[in-house]
Amino acid sequence: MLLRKVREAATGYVFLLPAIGLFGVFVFYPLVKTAYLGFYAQPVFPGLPTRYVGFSQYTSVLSSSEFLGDLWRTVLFVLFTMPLGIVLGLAMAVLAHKKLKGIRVFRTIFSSTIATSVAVASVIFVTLLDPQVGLLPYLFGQTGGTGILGSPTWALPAVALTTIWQNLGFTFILMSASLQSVPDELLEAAAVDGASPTASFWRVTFPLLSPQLFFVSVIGIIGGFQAFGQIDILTQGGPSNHTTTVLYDIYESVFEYSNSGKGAVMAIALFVILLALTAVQFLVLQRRVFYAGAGR
Amino acid sequence: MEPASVELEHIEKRFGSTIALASIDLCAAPGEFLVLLGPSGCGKSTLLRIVAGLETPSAGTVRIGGTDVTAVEPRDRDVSMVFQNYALYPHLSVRHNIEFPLKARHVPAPERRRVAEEAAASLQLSDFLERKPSQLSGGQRQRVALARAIVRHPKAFLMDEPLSNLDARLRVEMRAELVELHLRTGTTVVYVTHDQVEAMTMGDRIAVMSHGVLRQLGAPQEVHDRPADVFVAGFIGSPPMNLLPGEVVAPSAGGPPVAVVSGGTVRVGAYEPGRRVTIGIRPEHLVVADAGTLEATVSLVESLGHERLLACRLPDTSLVIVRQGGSGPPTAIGTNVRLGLAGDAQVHVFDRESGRRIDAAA
Repeated sequence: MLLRKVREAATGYVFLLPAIGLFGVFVFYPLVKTAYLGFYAQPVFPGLPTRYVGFSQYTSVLSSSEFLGDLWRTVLFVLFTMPLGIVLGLAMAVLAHKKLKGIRVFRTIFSSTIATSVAVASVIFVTLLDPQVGLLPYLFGQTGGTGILGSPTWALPAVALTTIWQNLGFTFILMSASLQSVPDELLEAAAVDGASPTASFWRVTFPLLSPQLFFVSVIGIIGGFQAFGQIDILTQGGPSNHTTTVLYDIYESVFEYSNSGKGAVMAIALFVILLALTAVQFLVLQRRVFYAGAGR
Repeated sequence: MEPASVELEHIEKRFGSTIALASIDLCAAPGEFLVLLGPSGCGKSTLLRIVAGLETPSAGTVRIGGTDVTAVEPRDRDVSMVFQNYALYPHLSVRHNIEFPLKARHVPAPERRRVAEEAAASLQLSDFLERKPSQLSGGQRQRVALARAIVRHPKAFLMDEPLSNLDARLRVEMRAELVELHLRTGTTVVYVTHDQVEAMTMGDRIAVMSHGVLRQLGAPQEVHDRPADVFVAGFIGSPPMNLLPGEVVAPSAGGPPVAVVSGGTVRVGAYEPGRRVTIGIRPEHLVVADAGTLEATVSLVESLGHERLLACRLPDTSLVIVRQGGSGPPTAIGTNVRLGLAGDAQVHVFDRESGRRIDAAA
């Protein structure tokens, strides 16, 4: 009996080994190494060896106004992109859920951004928003000057809008699939029970979509914190750091200023923040999420 | 709410080139329990969905309580529907499921609560009000669906095979509960089923359908005793009626008129000689008797305890079923027997081409 249990457990671990190996090399080791790098400060003059400073680099970097500013901009960016992205994706999915002739064409168009890379999407928006030749400034009569991407006020919302557009295809596809999983019979029951289409959406469809909405919100927050490509292509963190997020600052610290210690500290901070946020989301939101079949 | 009539006038439904319903005329009187009976794919559910407003008829008129509702949205028809899979809202508790139709009609919360609790109590659901549908058994879910249907006293209940997902014992129980519910509320019921036992035991009248056509409308006993065509004859009754192709022959001097079928003759009423007919005899109306007029060979004996079913093969290899009492020694397989009509036997005669019932000339 015991032998059999041991054998079964051993077999299980053998099957886990490849995954543990891959995670170890590409996730766990880099994570530990990053935390370790955070203990070593870069000297002011390049070329000199790094020196051990312990936690002092963590405290100084994380309490600096530069990092707090980055964090605030990152939070703003997530607040711009996540809710609006979900609302738009869901609205488009609801619109495209009708059984109409030619609706497939619309579905294809709505989901097309999923096949567009961040780079391509960003280049499209650089062109669209260009103050000299861009279509959007022309349409709004705002040609010339620094343009929207050069405006300290509007650069971050503009990058956020680009991100929303970029992610819309994914959200749309996910929401469309979820809408299709809501049984027609329930909506028919609601209709016979006297619910208006709006009421049946909010009281039947929406609660049944909650697992997917929860998933998209978690992904949206993580994606927002990790946005890089669009910032790099559209603004390079400018104008004067107005679009520099935590992740972009990590990139600049490590690859532009060769300050791997500072970058490592911020990377660990970003990891802890995302971990905490996701945990909170699971604890708070999950109570309001209905999973079909739960409690069976 | 007073029970209302449900009238269907020349209802047609086409899906592309497929005709699902061909000009159905049907009326359920106020307070009547009308059963739509037929095999799957006969259009009975489509017809019910047309009454509910979930499908639009290609032609024809639907009236509920005398008002034309053909173009009216389901939510404004004031009918309740019980679905085959119950269609309970999985994210809502039993209480909120039952309250749903009241909430949709903006009934104030205290009133809603009271009425829902009453409905739950009448269906023995009071102990389960806070549970989710997934925590209930099939029978309990079925009762929640019923409670949700009765809670707002609609003009009519529409039920789409509501018992087909229950096990046999529970089905018998729920059948009785449904009949009781109908007697208590007096509401018009249009009930779809493919189960003839449900139809026979519950319906005031049965509408038998096949291939989108209404074959017969009548009281259960009438449909059983005087089937309008071979389809109804074969569909109602278990085991089904024996249907034998035959031809009417002129009566011999002094004898009764007969039809010649494989293996012998069957006494029939007065029909025009030479007419090609289908003879229908229920299994309980056949007996094994030396004086029988049909020759057959017993090919299978099924003993059900209280009765026995004999499958007998006629010379043309067609099977006839004979229902016998369970007592007495069983007939051995392979025995050549003679089959005759029981004393009170009814012989049904249908036209071979059209399949319609033909009554003997007086």
